[in-house]
Amino acid sequence: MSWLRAASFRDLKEGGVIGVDVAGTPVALYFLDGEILATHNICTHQFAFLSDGYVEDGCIECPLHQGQFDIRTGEAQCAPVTGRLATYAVKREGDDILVDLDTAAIAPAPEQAVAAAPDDRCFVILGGGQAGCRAAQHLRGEGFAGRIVMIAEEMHPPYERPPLSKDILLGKAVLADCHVLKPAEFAALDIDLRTGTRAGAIDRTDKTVHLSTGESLPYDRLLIATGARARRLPGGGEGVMYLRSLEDAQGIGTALKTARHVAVIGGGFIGLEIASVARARGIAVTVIEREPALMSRILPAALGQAFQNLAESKGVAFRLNTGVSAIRRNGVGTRIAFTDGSEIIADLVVAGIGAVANTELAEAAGLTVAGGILIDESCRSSDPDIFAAGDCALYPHPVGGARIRLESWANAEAQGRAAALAMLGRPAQPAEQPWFWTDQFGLNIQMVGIPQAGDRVAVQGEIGQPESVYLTERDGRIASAIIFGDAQTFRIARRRFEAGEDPSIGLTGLRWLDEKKESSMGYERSLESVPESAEKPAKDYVWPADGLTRVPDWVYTDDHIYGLEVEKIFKGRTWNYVGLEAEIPNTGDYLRSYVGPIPVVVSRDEQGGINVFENRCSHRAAEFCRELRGNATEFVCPYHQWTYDLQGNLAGIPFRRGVDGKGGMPKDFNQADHRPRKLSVTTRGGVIFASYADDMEPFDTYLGPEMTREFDATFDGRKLVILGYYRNTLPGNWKLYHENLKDPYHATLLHTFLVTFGLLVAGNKSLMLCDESGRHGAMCSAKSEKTVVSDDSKKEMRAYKEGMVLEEPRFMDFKPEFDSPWSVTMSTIWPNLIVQREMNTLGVRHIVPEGPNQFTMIWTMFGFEGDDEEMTRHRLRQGNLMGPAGFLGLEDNEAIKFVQDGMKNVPNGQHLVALDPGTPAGTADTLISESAIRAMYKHWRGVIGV
Amino acid sequence: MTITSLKTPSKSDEMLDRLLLRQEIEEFNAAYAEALDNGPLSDWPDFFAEEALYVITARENHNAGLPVGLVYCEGKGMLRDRIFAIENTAMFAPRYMRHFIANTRVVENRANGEIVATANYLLLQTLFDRPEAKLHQVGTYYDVFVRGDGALKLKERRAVYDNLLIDNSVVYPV
Repeated sequence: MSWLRAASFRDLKEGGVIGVDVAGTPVALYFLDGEILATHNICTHQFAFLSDGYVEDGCIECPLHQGQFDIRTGEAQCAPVTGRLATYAVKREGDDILVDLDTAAIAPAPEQAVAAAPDDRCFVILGGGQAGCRAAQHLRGEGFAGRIVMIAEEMHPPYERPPLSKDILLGKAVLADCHVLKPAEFAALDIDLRTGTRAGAIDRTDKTVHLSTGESLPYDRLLIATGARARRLPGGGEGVMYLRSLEDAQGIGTALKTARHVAVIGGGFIGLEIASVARARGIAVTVIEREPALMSRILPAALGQAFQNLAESKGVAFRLNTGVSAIRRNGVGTRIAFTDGSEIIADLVVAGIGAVANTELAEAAGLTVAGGILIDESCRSSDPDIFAAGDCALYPHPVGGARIRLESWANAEAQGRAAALAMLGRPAQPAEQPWFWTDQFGLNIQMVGIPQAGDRVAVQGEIGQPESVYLTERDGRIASAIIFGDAQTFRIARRRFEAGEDPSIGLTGLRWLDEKKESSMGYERSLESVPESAEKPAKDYVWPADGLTRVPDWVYTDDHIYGLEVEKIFKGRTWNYVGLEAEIPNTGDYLRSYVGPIPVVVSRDEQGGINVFENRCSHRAAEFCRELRGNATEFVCPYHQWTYDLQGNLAGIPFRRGVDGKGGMPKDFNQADHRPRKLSVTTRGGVIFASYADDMEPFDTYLGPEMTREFDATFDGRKLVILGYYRNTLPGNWKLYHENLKDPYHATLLHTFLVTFGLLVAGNKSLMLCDESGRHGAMCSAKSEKTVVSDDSKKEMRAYKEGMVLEEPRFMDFKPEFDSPWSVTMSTIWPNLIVQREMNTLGVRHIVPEGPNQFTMIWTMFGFEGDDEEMTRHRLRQGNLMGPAGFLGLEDNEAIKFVQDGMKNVPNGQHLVALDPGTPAGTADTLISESAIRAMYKHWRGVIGV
Repeated sequence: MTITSLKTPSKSDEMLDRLLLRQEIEEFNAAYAEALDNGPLSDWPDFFAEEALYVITARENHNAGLPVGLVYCEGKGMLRDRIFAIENTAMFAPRYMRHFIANTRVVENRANGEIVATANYLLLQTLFDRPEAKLHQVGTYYDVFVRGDGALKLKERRAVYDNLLIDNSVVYPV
């Protein structure tokens, strides 16, 4: 036992994980329900820090491939992780967290010592790959006590293949890192592994396998997991290398050390991964593809384009639609001649043109084979005692009407497990959705489901760029989700996909691609899908290469972008604030309001329903409702007296039938067709929202659970009492207001009143909450009675006024009245609402944009029915903090003006929002963070398509 | 005792009193504007009585009887806190303010000594980096004066502005 100090108790995250280094060992420390736990911090699958992952239900989920481990036992919970995670004993002494690296937290469960009934059966597994090993492991896991013999052709013990085209090529991993099962595991599982042995024939009558060693091996059940081999170029080709085995990878790895120009024949996943490794080593790469687009037989064109764009952005050259006529070595290198007469010289040629299933044994034995061994859901072949799994087997379900093979690691895993269960006669377990990952050009790209060439594609983000999302649709269902380099979004989408839910929820920036229009798929193309009302882009809108840590000025100043925002955000799939129910309690009450910049009328009809419709006469466009609010039985356009009822229906047209049979409207004029555009309406807690989308999700789904909780804490069912309004115009872009309230950093620096009076201080209990989509947020803090600010912090906080006292400090009092741990919350509810719960001064702020450089803010301050006079006056006094003249409010307004001035007067720059790199985007538990701003732009970019 | 004290009050005396009172309020407002426009700001709270109410609010709230204020101060302490914040903590772009107060009207001279009066005001704001002085507010003061030590003091001032849409922010008192 040796206890080593690992961290300070204060560093632990409640309900979360932190990564620390303990004497050179990376350790993850968890703090769950008051219990401190420790594990190794690196995933047993591939290199990823678990402290970057997610803690949920006592499990830690790897950020890279969503494998989960039980934090207490270290047991792997789901694919792709299989290896147990080391756990460590941990204890707390005062503020010190101590870890004992030599002692596991919980001794691993003893091997099942249940004396299994003797079993003289023999199960034979042909093939020493992923599927075979996993099957063997599961056979033992299910209690099979008979003999397991594994026939493996290669000399090496079984290894994983994904690293061959990744870390092995890069020299970052060696064989020992890639074993499917370690030698000790083979021994523990009592598997009779015969490496360097080949099966020559299967005799189904005698249930015997004849081996290359001359031995005949009887079987009770046989699993064929012989995998596949690299497809060879039809005409051969001198010096062409292929990648399938460890030796292949080592050979290519060696060649890459001296290569200057690599030609990759075949633009599939293997080819692109090799190209990626070559580019990472600074080697020129040309990818040669026979088809006009990458992977055009298995992927929709847009996805092929996405992979191409990504590779091109890293300097890969493509020769598409090009056949190879000859490959000859000469003194300089290898000359590749193309069918069009051109040629290139490369010093390394690798072909990745697909794989051929190793089905000869099965075929010779008379099993049904069609490009792969035909199996059912339980991996059973046409012979009930013979099973097949992995690359050599067909996927048991037709995809788009045809049977295909899924040559993936995850499929080998899943089928290996399914085969083991079936070999033991156990019922099949529900199959997981096919899942696949590839690492290339710095991005981890993951896919769930099975896409197909003919699928329709919806995309969010820029095609082929980081964080782009693709959903493919086939037969009216979402068939697959593919995400480039955004494990967090993928994690959510995959879960939804697995659960049979709509994975597009929260992906509000999705746009359907028109295959014809999008054939070249460039950035400008994506902007062409903008509504006609928006002007043509005058320039390229290219997001800075640094990603979300930079925001270019044009986001805030450009008319075209603003036009897109109106169409895609305010008129898009959003719930827009339009008013409070307390403002229109009675029939006929109405409000003049706005959705984005668009004027609308909010009215209470005779049935008590709330209606929201455009404030624009169907006749000559006049904005007919001119009062701020009032009560009416109908709305009359003053110009020609067209009248609208309280639901916005066109109710009357003067002289519709003309006079004396002359004039009037055409006979076929249908009044019902001519009414101002009506919007969808929803309310929650007395707050009214409207949407141009007629199939919006419910408001609480739109907000997400955490934001809904905060919303409900403010609008807790008490009836609202309106205290009055402020209105101001701010000379800045409307998004800056959101950002200001997603920027807790400024709050600790700009606002003396917050800092000096303990409302929001670095070190106070606080949270910058974001919803899953990134568009909503809540800046939350708990007021401390007495601010304790260290001398160091004071130096950083110029706003802190030592010894400042108020003559009337009572206005800063907080009278608890909400079911919430927070005394101050500022919620930004996308796209146009701020909910201010600043202790006891409450208000909603309605953002009305007026072009890129200005917006109006309408503040509606309120209290609750039941407030006594003193409480109302307390709210009014405390109101001095906020609003256009508020101690805090005016500072924010001025700062926003300064920001817009800066962009106007020193144009074409970019903003730096890089604080808190540990949280790339999303909820931050430190005030010194800009992760919520990045989360907003992650969402925004998806919606706008830049 | 002078002879005038024995005179029966005449109509012209009443008018003279009204004129003098209006003149006194106008002078009060000119001095008030001077403190806000040219300073020192710290003089401003002294135009108010100890328990004064000072509210700046929009015409829409005033007409609807809604109590909220852009600035809502109960008592001189809150007025002084406001000035302290402006002078010591608040961040805003530098500017000049200029008040024009007119149409002073004495509405009621109450028996308890309170004087109800109104006056219209124009408030111009000039930012240092813009050529024009912008109309920042146009509105009416709704005032209740009392006398303390012979001098007028505001027991209540509601500055009610008509231009509902404020240009960004209101930094100084109105």
